[in-house]
Amino acid sequence: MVEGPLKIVRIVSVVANGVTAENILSVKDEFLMNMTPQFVPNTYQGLSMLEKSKWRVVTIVIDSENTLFDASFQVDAINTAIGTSFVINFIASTTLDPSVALVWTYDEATCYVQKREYGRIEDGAPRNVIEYTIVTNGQKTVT
Amino acid sequence: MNKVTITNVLYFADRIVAVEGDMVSVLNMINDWNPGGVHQSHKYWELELCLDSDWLPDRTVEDESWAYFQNVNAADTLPAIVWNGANTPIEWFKVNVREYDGGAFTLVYAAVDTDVLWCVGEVSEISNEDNTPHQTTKWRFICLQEGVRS
Repeated sequence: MVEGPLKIVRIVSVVANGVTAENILSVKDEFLMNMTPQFVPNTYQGLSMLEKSKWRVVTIVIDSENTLFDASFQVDAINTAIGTSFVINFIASTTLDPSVALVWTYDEATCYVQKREYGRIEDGAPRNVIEYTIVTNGQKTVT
Repeated sequence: MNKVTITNVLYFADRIVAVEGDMVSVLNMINDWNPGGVHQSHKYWELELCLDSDWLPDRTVEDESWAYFQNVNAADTLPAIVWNGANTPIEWFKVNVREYDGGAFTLVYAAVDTDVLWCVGEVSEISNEDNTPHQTTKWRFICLQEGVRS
């Protein structure tokens, strides 16, 4: 066993609700862990760690628009979980293989659209982007 | 001892977090102009490690991140992050730094210590934008004991 780096080269596509989109500008995956050091009065150093919930926030910025998440939010009803699948495809590189297909798969039944930022369309702008934020408490698998 | 040696580091940073806001704050005295001393806050080290993508415990297995698959505790039983359970205290955490003149030193936050250092955050940022220099993964840690330069 020899340790080594994995370098992600680019995003190939995002798949959600049965739609495959390739006009992806960026992806951000935050694993948020509610972990707090524990203290007692009149001491300086913490005693241990209090661990509570963990969840992921996935931010996807789309270059212009597509229908990836259209089925996952509305203003007159509850947001339903993403259906069918929620997958991000990458090309990565290691010291042994310069072109590895890397897939992040999320448990779609626990993935909900949390935010949709302004979809701004501006003449002369370098890019017109729309940003979606997905929240999930399910498992992420990498294959 | 369970040791992960990571070399694709873009930066390492550390800071002191004072729980009550500042490490010390003035102790005001009733009906007096001058503070009578300072309050001391609870404190800990927060460490941030930014990697060029990620680090694999076995480079032939591209789908395994070190934080989820390489054991970091003294008993050699658990990795740093357990997605659906408590994270494992990391028993060994050292940063080897090369100086401008070719010299070197080591920052030691945990050396065969238990229950003092944990991984508390992971952020991956991948971009297709032109001229993106690196696709990064940042790991954040909390250390409850003193960092030592050796």
